Amino acid sequence: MVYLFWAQLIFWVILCIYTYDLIRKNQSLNKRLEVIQSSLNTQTAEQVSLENREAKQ
Amino acid sequence: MRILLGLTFFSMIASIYSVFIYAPTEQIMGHVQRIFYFHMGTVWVATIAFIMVFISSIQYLRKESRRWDKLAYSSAELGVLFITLTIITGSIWAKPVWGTWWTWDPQLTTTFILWILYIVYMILRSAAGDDAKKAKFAAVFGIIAFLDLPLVYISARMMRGISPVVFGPGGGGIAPEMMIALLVTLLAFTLLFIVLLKQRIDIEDLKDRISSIRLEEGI
Amino acid sequence: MRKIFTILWKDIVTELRTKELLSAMFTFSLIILLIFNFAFSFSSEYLKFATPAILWVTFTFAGILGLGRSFAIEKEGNSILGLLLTPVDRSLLYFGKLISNLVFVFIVELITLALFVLFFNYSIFHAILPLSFVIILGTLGFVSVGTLFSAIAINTKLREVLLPILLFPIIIPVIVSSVKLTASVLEGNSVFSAGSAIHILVSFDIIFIAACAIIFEYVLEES
Repeated sequence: MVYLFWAQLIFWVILCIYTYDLIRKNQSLNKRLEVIQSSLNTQTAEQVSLENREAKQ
Repeated sequence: MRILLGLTFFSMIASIYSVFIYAPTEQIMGHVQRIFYFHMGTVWVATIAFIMVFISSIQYLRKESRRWDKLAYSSAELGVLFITLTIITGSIWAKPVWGTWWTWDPQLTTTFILWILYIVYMILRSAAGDDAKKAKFAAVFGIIAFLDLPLVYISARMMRGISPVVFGPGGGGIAPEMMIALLVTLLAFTLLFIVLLKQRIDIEDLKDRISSIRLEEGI
Repeated sequence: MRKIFTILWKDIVTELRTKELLSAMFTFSLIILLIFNFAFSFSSEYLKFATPAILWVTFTFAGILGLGRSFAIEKEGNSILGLLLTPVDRSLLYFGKLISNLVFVFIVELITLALFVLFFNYSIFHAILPLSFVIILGTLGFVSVGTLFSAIAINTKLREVLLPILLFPIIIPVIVSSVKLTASVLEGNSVFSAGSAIHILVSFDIIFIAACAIIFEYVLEES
């Protein structure tokens, strides 16, 4: 019974740590992707507005 | 994806239920025998993972597409995880049943060498340098390691004479309820493997996308 | 066939010019024998059980030293490109390298064996023919994979350090069956009396020489 308990405990702990790590990595990568994309978007937006202004002048 | 997650969750619950409540207690070993189901589940997933490493390594060498490499890498990592779990649960099972944490029985020896081989696979990847090298060297090692396994098993058998039957609860007959519990567990673990594999590949995809954007924009 | 010979000849000539690899391997095997001598205080009956293990540990360790350097000259001189540009089938390159590695390892093994007989006062002459048969098969096994992995290891960040880690887990069947065969041969039995050991050894050689010859070109592309 004690052995069963420990086997289960260790199994679930390791599995949960791994899964948690996967999810955490996934989220942080997603966030980074968003940051990069949004910074690209603002850059292009600034460029577009700059070009528009130049065109008006 | 959502359906798959739900299915996995549900079948894991079913597996836990059938392992702890539905399956009868084994007469000789008692409750300890219930470790066996999860032990088999992990070794089953590890086997699938390593077969996938082998197949995708061959495919990578033939086609050189990143997809196959990601698949091989992700499966190898999951394989290492699950074979580690196999060894731990097996060891805890062996202590009360055989009276020792570890013996150099052919199956154990082969599992141990399998574990080492795929840890070496990970070391090779981290030491290889750029992505193309990583993928190609790892693929080569994955193929060679897999081809080696049958010979490792045979030579481990030869060293110890003929092995006793280890798998199967107590080596005896198996009750139908136990069989069902085992099958449910295998199904649940297979689903779990698919979910984890997909998550793992997603991570590699994200990394690729980020680095390709960086490359394009020169950030 | 002549192309294999050319690669072989190139390696042998380069080695003969400096002799650094052979002397390093040879000295290393001498040191291993010395350490074994100190590690066990040998009585002659104990020696009988330890001999196969001592021999194969010495062979593989000294062998790996040589294998680790087998692509080093090409790597440092960037002449792998030269090898690749020669209009030769890539698997022939593998066989050229395989044979030149085999030659070096065999030379070292021969000297080691002689020294072993000398130092440990242990006669092997009653079984010299089957023993050399076993040694040839075993060496073929670990050098075949070793040649492929040497080309991999030299192109990684860890260089030669990686080679033993890659190679030893793979060649466990070779070591197990060679040790077993050596023990049985030294007792005066034939090579077929040690159960399936000879089958394991021969199948390992066939499987991995074929597999490595096919795979070798993919490794060269990345160097």
